Amino acid sequence: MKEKSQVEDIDRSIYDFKDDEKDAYRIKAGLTPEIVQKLSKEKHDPAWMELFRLHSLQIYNEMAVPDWGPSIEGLNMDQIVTYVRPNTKMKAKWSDVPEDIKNTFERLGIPEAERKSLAGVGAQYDSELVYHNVREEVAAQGVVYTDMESALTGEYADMVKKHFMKLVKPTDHKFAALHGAVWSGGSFVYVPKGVSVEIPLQSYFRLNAPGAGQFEHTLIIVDEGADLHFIEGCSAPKYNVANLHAGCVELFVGKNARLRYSTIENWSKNMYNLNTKRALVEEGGTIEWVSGSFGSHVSYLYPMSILKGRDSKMEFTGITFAGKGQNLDTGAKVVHIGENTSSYINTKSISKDGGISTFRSSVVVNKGAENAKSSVSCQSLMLDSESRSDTIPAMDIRTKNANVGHEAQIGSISDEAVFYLMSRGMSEEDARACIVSGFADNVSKELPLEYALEMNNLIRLEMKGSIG
Amino acid sequence: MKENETLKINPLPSKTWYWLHLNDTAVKWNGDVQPCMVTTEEPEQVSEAGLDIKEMTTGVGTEADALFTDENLPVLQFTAKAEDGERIIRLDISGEDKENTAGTVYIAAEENAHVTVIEKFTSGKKAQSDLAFRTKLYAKKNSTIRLIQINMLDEGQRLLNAVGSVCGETAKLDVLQMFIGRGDVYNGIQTELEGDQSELHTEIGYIGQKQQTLDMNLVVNHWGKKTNCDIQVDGTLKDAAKKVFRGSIDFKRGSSGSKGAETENVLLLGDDVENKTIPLILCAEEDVDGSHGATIGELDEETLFYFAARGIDQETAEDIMTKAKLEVLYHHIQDEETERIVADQLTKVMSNDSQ
Repeated sequence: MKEKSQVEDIDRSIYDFKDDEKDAYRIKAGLTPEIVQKLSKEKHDPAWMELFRLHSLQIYNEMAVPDWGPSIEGLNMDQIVTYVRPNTKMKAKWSDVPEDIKNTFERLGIPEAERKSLAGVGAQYDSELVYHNVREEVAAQGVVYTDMESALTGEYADMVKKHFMKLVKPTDHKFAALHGAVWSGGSFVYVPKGVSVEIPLQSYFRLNAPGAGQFEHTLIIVDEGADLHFIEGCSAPKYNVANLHAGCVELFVGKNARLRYSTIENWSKNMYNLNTKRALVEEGGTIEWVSGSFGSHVSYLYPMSILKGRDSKMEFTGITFAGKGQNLDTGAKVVHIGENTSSYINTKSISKDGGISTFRSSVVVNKGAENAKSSVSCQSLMLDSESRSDTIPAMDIRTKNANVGHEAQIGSISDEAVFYLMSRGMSEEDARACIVSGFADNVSKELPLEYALEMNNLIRLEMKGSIG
Repeated sequence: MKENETLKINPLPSKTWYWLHLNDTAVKWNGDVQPCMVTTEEPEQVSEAGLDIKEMTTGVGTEADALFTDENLPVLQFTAKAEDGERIIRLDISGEDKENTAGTVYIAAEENAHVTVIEKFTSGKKAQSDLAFRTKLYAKKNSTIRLIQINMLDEGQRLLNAVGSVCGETAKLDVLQMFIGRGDVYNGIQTELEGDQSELHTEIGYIGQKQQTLDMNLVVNHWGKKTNCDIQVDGTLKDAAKKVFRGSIDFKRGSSGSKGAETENVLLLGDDVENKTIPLILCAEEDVDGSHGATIGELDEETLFYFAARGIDQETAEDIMTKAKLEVLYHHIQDEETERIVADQLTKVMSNDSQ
């Protein structure tokens, strides 16, 4: 019988603290036209948005629950509260944010990160942003970074209306329709032509209220020749009732522009994470996705890139860690439309302690996408036989002048590699930790240093366990 | 089953996005089937205890079973025994002059037996016709079954080829399929590697031309310990040919020490070709090794340069490479008579490919 080391689950204690829901406004649980209208009224939506919400709700009610992914039977929409407004307006100074909420974000290290390494920060608490700030020098370049509600009615209202849910339409799938009906919060970013934002912007989403949903909308427009790195972080404390996250991210990457979108997702294990992300890339533009999925009870997450312009590019680097009670269905989608477009998908997944990890992808090369190139690589590590790991990659190629490659591997930690490291003086525990850290290296080296260190520390900590 | 009923065939063991249209294939097929013609020199030979027919699912899926239920359809049964030595069973299968035909063959290899089954699907007299054929294989302990299937049906003639197989302990199944006809093909193979150390080796070669459709579904379930499978699919698509390849390796819990690998190479030569590929690895066991790889595209510049440097133009180079992919396979048939037939058919198909 092979001796095995025990790999512990990710330590969530730094995320798993709860605040009382003091004086917060909670809309009635469930999903009806009346609730959607009430929500729209509370948010002072323009008239078109109220109609949009009601139309989306109608689509939601007509669409079937997907039967191809993890079960979401535990999610009862009649019990989900779609809007919880904290008892504060959005502030531009940390000192003005109410003490309890401020403490939450301080424990998560957000103000410290802002001081050290960010060009701007948005912090969402339940359904609304409580803090938004952008450095003066970045704002002086014409960069707009604001909450979606302000953007919807302010100077950029026309731009928002032109782009809002045009890339991810409510008809896309049931939870895109849900998002259209009850979205609130999120960020709007506009980077003008030729502007390069040297250090990243970050939005952090915290869902504190039990039994609630978070439906933030992120809309980013990077104009011609501009450059941006945007970081998204999310966490929540664990409750005994289901929480839901059905956010939506729409990214417009202009001609010769570049956008890197990094996500570290750390939702609690009662969370249903049914998120939709999509990017439209114009001629010569580049979209880079870096994605770490560590939390959630169930995840459906497949950022999609539409390479519309010729010479546009996409890179996706992702890691998924599925532990006990988790069923994480993650991956990426790309559609090649323009000539000479290229895509590269590189993912790693780790399953342990009964966790289920599924890599799901699609590469579509349309007929006119002459000389398109695509490469997909996915590797999965099974740490025990209680767990499960599946890969479901699809390719649909409709031009002869394409070059598409795909490779995938599933396996366990090699005994030979462990033996090699042990013969050089490492303990078995350290050897296995070293191998798993190395396995995740492709993602950590794509993250900003602070985030890479945090991810590596998490993995290393969790590999410290008993042997037997 | 009704006439012209829509069947959902070649189901993917684990569904994905519906918009990809890969979860299964819907085909209209006439359920009013007549017996197909199966010609063989081999007498049917069933063991004294009767043929041990195991329940097994074919890769085409259960909806297609309705095509094989009519009592009048031919059901051939063969049992290979160890004392028979290296037995070869040749079956020529055709729809003859009928529009819609079907038939089944059961083959069991007893312990330590070795049998080669060669099935040739040849054109019937009807320009527009459908042929559904089901092959069920049961390889018992330490036996070997080689299944060689050659499809030569003409344009307008569709083949639904359903294969189900079960391998016992240390049993080995080799499948070699060549789709070198001009008609549409719906091909599904499902294999249960039940016994410890059982093996499946599959090689598939094809050429798709004009409006031809090739729709394939391979499912390998690893149940036993130290089971092994490899799947190699190699083909060329020309003109407006369409191809779907679903290949699934499923490591069940308990299949420790097992290995599975699949590779697919597709040469795209037509302006209107459509190629869909979905290679799945499903894994509920830690101690396994699964991999798949796919390369899809046109001839690379290095290869074209090699030919050009020898005075060979691109079109001829593409023909040479297309034929070479298939010639590699027919040399693996190891049956002179069949190799000759395949070589003739290949010449015929290649010479007419642009008509």
